[in-house]
Amino acid sequence: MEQKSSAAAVGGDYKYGFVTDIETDTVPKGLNEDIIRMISAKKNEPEWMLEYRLKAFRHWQTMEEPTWANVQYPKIDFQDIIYYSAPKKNAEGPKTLDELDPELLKTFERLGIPLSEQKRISGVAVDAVFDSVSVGTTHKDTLAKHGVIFCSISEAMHTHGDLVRKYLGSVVPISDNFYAALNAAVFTDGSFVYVPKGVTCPIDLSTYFRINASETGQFERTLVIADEGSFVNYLEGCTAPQRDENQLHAAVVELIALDHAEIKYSTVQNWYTGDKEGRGGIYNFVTKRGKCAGRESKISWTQVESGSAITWKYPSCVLLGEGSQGAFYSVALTHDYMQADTGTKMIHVGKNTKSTIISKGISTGHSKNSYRGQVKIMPSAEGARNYSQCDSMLVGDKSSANTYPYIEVKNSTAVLEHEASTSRISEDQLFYLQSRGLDTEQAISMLVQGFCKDVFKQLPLEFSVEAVKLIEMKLENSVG
Amino acid sequence: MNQAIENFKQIFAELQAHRALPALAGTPLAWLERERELAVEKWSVDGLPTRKLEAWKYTSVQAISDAEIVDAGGPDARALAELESVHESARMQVAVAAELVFVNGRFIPQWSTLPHIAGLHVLSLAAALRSDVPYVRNVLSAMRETFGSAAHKGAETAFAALNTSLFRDAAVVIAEDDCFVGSPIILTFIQSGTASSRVAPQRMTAVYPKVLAHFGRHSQGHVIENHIGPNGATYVSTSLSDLHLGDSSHVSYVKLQREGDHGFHVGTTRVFQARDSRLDSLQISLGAKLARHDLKVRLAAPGAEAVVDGLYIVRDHQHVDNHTAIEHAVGDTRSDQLYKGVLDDESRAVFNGRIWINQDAQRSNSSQLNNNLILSMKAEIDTKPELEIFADDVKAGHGATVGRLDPEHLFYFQSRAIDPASAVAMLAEGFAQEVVFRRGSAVVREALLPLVRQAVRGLKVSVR
Repeated sequence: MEQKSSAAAVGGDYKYGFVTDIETDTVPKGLNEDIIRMISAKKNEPEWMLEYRLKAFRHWQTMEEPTWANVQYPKIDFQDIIYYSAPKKNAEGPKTLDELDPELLKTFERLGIPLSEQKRISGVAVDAVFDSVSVGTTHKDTLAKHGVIFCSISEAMHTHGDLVRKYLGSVVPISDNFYAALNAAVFTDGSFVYVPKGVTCPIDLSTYFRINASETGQFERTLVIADEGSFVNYLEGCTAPQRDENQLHAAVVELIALDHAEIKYSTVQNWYTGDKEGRGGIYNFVTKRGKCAGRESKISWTQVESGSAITWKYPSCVLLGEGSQGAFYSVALTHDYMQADTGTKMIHVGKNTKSTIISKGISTGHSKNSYRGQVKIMPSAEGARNYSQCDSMLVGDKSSANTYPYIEVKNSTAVLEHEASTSRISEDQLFYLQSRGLDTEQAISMLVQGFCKDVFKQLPLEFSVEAVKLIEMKLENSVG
Repeated sequence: MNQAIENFKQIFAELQAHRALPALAGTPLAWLERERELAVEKWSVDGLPTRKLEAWKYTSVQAISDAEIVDAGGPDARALAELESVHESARMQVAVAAELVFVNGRFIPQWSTLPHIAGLHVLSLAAALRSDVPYVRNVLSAMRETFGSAAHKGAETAFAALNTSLFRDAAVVIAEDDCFVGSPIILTFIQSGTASSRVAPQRMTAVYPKVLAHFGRHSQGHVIENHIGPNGATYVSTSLSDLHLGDSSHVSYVKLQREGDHGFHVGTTRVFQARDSRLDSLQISLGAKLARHDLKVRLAAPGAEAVVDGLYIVRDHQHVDNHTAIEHAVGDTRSDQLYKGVLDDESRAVFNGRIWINQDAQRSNSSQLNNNLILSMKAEIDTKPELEIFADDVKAGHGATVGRLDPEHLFYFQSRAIDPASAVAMLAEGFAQEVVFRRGSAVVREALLPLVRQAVRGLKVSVR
């Protein structure tokens, strides 16, 4: 009860808009080589890591911000951002999760993420990232029994340096794009997963990202490696406090699937969206890419994008291995003044590779929702197959929905289908539901859920329930 | 700045010095003289497009930019005699309402047939400027409102701007209110080009075919634009056609491109549609080494409707690029697009279809489909159907497919004792014919079907 009322008091519509009052350890504002050295030193990183960061930073300085996306925002001052912020800890640092700052534990509790031992009933291992650092990882013992490595990437740098060094930047190189280069230079933490040969990860893995401090940016880096014949289900969630300023979130996620391995990566993105007038909110400029390196490997991205003032995100699959498969399932909901330019890239390189794209966009209020996707069949991709479906739904006459699919075929044995449609909620369907006693809001919510069903059914059960609730809540506030 | 632009500047300066450009001052087309100056500014500053521009991402016109451009001269009697065979193959086997023939952009009266239908005016530019028919004079000066640069905010390509600056003659088609024309009006543009050389940079002649067409209230007609050139000759044709469809008019428009195998065709068609007008457009691309076509349709008043189709059949190293942009400016408008392509050898096709539905354009309905059939291993297709929608009460959809012939289909033909090559040709013909069968006019269908058959049979299909 208490939780609810305080959230309502602070947050209004956005239930996660509260701020945790906690002492933080931050670096000065701005970005230069000294800041990068400072971050690296704070994290006590190996020498090669610092080299990697500096190389990325030097490259980033030569790059220009991309402007091709269908989003508008004032120019970001990269010198006006705090690149590192961490909850203060004792010199020793907590040995176990129970020794964590109670304020921190409470924060995650309020977000619905139980970290303390006795509460861990959900059967999902969680790595909680607070501002710039990982504060704790649960279920480590269970995972260790199966040989699964799940920890923060800073920890992995020390304990599994060889793996990190081998794979970091192998899917998203530092020169990939402006924000990926920035991330490589300043990333502060993130999750690291390694699933050994033939192991099916016994529980779902999850990372929960929370931005708390003001004027900071969050730059996390996730690296998931599924070795031969392994399987892992990975979930990701995120929230941030409600503020008038815009905060930058530029993450990089790299997935690597070796022979016969499968990675399922699901995201429910619920960063603060800004208020009704479009003030504040998170700029979510993210690079996510998976590499199906092995034969018959599989990577699937499922995302529910319902937050952030601006989203700029294209989870992609590079299908190298023969017979590998990529999938992208997405629901993007925009309301008020949100802008989303999201989609995927499927690059078919290997023979008999397959990809599926299902994208559902819902725009309400004054928002802009664009799907931008690319399907590329390289000359070597004999027998490639792609199916894409992109549907948009418009609610209200002030929003817009755009579709920009790029289809490039360089091998004639490929078979591709692309379909897209845009429509609004059918009056007849609404009338029917209302004649059955549902009010307008319930009826719209039901129709939207039906519209998104193809994507929701790809989510793990808990996430699916959360996603449905989230969409319901968002619609409540935006359907007039 | 590149070679071609320098040459175009010289050409323009010389033409001005010799007063060789059409004198428009004091005529109903006086506004075009001002447009000419604006257009020069555009292409001489921006230059020709490069692949860095989104609209030219998949099509490089470097070969044109690097070429040495010469202005195509008007043909003398000897040149015409040499082109007689091209003229012969350009002929379409239909009864025509009128036919204007242009060689290198100049009107050739002896090859043309003028109309004998009340209310229909099909004229060369010179004749149109001399015309004392009030309807013609009014229409020509009113075209400024729909096709002047103010109406397009300078959004046309550098090639369309080149046409506006350098055109020497034009085909003018004007149908008065209530005029009904049952047989096609054919506008034939023959390019002579220069013999192509094997070494770069190429020497290229430039031609600027131009069409100004206006269909009055309740009028009906068929226009077939027929572009052709000899094989082996190098040239660049920057055609620009402007069509104005008046209230409740019904116009079928076919642009048939059969340029020579070393020719470059970079053309634009702009259509303005008034209330309840209907456009039935088909863009057929069979020839040219590189063909690019931009089709812009503005559905400017309620009830306007456009069927916008295309067909490309390409082989060898041919490159064809179709860009369509349909603007639903107001509500209760409808558009339907079907572009089909057959690709053989190492040819490459690009399709970019953009549908724009304005914020007030409620109850708009639009659909778009691009189907591609690939017959060889090395052909390449890049397709990009775009939707930009700002109104909520609309129906919009697009689709794109890329595939090859179904082996089961081929097997069926073979089990009926039809050899593989014929089977492929028959299936490909069936695939391509669909767009022709979507034409409302039987006369137009009859005129086009043999051309499609000939193009498909010309593919040297390698059967695997």
